[in-house]
Amino acid sequence: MAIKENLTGYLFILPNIIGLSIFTFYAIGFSMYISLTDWSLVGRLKEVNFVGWQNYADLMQDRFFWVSLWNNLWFLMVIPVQTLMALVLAILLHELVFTSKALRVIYFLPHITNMVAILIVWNLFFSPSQGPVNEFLRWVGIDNPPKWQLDQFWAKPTIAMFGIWSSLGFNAMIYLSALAGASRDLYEAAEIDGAGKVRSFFRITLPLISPTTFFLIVLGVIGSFNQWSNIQVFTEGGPGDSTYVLGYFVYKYGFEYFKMGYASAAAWVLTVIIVLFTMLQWFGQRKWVHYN
Amino acid sequence: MIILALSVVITACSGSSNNDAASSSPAASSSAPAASSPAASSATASSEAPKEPVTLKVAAFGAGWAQYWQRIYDRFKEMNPDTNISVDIQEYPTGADYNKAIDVAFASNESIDVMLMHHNDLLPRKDAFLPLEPFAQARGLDLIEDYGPAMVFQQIDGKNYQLPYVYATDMMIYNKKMFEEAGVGIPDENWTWDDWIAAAGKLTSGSGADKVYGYSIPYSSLDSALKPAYGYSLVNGTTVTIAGDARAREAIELHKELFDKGISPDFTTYGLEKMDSRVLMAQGKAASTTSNYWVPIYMNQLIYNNGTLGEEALSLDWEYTFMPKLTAADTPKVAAVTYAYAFSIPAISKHPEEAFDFMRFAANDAADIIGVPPAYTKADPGIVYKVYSTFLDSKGNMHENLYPQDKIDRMLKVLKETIPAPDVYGVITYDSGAYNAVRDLFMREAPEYYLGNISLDDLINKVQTEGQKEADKFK
Repeated sequence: MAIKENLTGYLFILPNIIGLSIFTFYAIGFSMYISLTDWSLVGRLKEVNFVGWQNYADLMQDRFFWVSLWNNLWFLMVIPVQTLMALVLAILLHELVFTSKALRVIYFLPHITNMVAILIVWNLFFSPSQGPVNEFLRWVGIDNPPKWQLDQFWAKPTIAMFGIWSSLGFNAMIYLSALAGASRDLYEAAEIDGAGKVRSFFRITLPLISPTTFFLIVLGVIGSFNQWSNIQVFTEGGPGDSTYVLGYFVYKYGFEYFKMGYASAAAWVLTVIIVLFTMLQWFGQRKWVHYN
Repeated sequence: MIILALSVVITACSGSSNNDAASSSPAASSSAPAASSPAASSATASSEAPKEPVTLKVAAFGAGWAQYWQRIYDRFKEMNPDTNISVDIQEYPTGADYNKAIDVAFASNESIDVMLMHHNDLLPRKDAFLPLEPFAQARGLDLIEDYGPAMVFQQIDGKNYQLPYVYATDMMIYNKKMFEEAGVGIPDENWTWDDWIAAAGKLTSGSGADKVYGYSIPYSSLDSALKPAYGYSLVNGTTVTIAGDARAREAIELHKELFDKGISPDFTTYGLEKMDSRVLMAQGKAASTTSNYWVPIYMNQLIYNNGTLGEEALSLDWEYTFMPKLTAADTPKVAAVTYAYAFSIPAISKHPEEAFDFMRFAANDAADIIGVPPAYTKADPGIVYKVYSTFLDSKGNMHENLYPQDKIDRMLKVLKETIPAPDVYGVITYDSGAYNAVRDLFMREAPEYYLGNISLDDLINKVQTEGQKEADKFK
């Protein structure tokens, strides 16, 4: 009976397993195989030569790889900012009685809008010569406003601003659901014991939503390392190499420079980095994440 | 983990089994050229058994080209009623997605017999295409005689892989009335870029919505700053050349002069505001630009297909002339002459002989269907005038006598007399991956120079040193 039940269960999930095997596991295995070859992407696989770990060795000596990794690490600094801002927004929306539902929709809109369309508009907004942002800055008396995405110093913060703005709504909604799940009894008990709002926030709210914070930080780190399409549309890795990130590196070498083997090796190194960061966070959560 | 390991093994094994299958098909189909060739068969039809019907798979570059191919085949069938060739036209995406779709098709051994490919995109993929010399020789054809000397410059390792249907020759277009009224003279083949900038400076006026540019750059891509250095390439083989070629320096500098003096929109403005230099000219907001044969046909599209321009654009006093010389000592009438997109036969074609015949028909006898002046040197001259002065709009209305014959003749004179840059400066070949990497580096660093943050020497040194490190990865 137990065997029959198990078999029925496996049969139900079989279509999913087949799809996963073909589109995920096979693709991952193929990528690993390609990273050990000199495949150029164009032409047939008969032109592939096995090169072993040479792609990985070359990667370690590639200046652009290290520049890209450094830029990715810079963008990690954005995550605490975007998480904090999402929490503040969630608390405000949670406390607001009127218009909070409409505001939730408005803040969530960037998450469901086509990113390329948004980036084109952002490009126009931040145009150094004619964009409304710099027009406003000149109007308030700043004669030499930043050149934003055209400036090596400001390009990263400009992309970071976009990242924060586009993820704010989604992160805030996740926090809202966590806040909604917090038991009122704890707050009432704290109030009876004489705790003020600030103390309640740090001693009750933050620990209660720490699993959500952990989830958002993990997602944020993975998303930050994987970003490339916003770079493609906004700055194309420039000016100079100030916004060249690993995801963009993989795309360029694989699809435009015809070194798919090299790009696959870079993708695998990126995967290992992401896994290491995630594991670091996973072990670190014992110190500050409370599940009870 | 077991599934992952198995998938690596399966992939490695399927790669080698594909080798065995793939190596047999192209060789087999090309080993019997004469028997299946329509040219050959037309002489021996009476003694040969009826040929097997052949269906050619044609990869169409978007919906527009799907229609062209159908009309081309209809004419082919009308002119060759006994042909054994039929076509299966498959619509592919356009733009950058076209190459991706083609790469997937090649990697999965999907059969394609005839397709378009941009010459620059074919360079890294040349092993996936068939050289055309064997087909031409079997038919007693001379590709260079039939399609012009530019065929030599488009060869890869001494072989031609494509049949062009049109040449994209860079030419200058200017508003003759504006030039005459400003008293700056009428440009000719002896003008240099300095002469042109001086004239364009006097034609520049206004600001904001009333701005008129004396010259408009035609592209937003920063590597087009190197175009005035005719015949120059950032990379020769896998060697970066920017530091050692004064032409590159001249070309980059003249664009800075254009932008600093407000004579042309800069690359950023041109790209952000989605400018089109040809529309700017039609609207009287630019007195000159660089373009090619396409402008009059494009104007027809803008007037009759989408209403971007009114019919008054037809009476715009535009004229074509030769590209200016970079310096006074340079040879006049030199410009880039390429065939951009052209027809080719993938190596995976199952019917390469029939594919060549159909492709040759499309290149030679369908210019009016595609709407371009033909690259075929022996094409009917009347076709060119028809291409420009008649236009079948998207609603099926035919518009005729759009441009006077002498205007078209003057354009064709420039087209025909322009000397391809490789004829003067030699042919340069390069590794496509290396070229793309160095070009991207140039495009990321050049804005710093145009913004005035670094000097031209700094830009050139950086592109030379960092670019060479990038190019070395492709050795």
